[in-house]
Amino acid sequence: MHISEGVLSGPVLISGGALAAAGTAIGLKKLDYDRIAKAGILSAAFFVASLVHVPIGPANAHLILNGLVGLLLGWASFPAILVALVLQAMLFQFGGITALGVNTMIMALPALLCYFICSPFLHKKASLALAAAFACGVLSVALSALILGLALVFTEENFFEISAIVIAAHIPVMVVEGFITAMCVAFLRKVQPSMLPGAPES
Amino acid sequence: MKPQPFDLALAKRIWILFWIVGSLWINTASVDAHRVNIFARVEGDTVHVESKFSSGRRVHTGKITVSDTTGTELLRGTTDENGQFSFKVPQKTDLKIVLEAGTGHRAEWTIPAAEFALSAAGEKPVRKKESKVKNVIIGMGFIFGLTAIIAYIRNRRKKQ
Repeated sequence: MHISEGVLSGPVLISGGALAAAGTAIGLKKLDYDRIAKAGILSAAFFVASLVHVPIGPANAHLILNGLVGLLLGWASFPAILVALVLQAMLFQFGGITALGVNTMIMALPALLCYFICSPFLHKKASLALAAAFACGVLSVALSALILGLALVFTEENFFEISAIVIAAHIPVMVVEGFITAMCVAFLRKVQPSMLPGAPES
Repeated sequence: MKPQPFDLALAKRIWILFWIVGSLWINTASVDAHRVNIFARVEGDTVHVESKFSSGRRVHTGKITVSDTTGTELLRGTTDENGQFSFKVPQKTDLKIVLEAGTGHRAEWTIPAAEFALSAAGEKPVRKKESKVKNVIIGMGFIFGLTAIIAYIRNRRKKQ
């Protein structure tokens, strides 16, 4: 879901850059520097995720993991994802350098939205929490597809067509990410619930 | 909320979990990319272009544009079902071949003018292959290094 160099027009790139910069600024403020290792590991996981090809279905889809990143980092998803995207762009040429802002919005905004939508449920009873985690994994990928479609609207691509194609291509990814997110949430609920957002102050 | 002391047992568990998730990509055959690749080679007076998504799937009906280095468009075409496209060399200068494969995928390949001469002389150009594993290690190393630096600075600030 990375947009390559030279695809988007100047205004789109600039707007994406501005929004991503704003998100990153807020993210850096809200980042818990005492828990920087958490952000580092999630950023590294996101970096590696795009190399994992999901072999079911169309051959062009790869893991994203922005749902999990969003759930555990909230606003700090922006800097974490941005760092990983810079490295992906430089080392693997995934996504153009000028498109970094737009690509950050594609990956990090859904992460943030899923954080707001799903985090209230994570400390409730297990079935509800895991369902919310699964939904988080699915929704974050779907929202990323929609933002990708939005970004391409100004390059003569039809929003509904593009979004439909990308979502359809990523349905296996959505299911896999739903499971991964649910597994991680289940693990953390047992081991260190304070790492999950919305922990009740005891 | 009071900052918690460093929990080694938890760190070990998180490390194991990370490797379980990370082992998904150990099968290097499926290590792959969000990107479309294009290769072009010269044979005599024809240029053969091949296109693939890094997952191996060919690019059907990808748009090809061939220009010279000043940006003047020389010709256009579409890749066939095998992701291939061939054209006669329009002029023996540096040629830029651009592939657009939809949903934001784009790739470029430049043929230096020298390659036409080499091909005429019967020599095959060498293609470089980038090391994926090496770059993964570099990227992860960078992230962990950055994390460590931030943690160190934070620690020093707290002690003051």
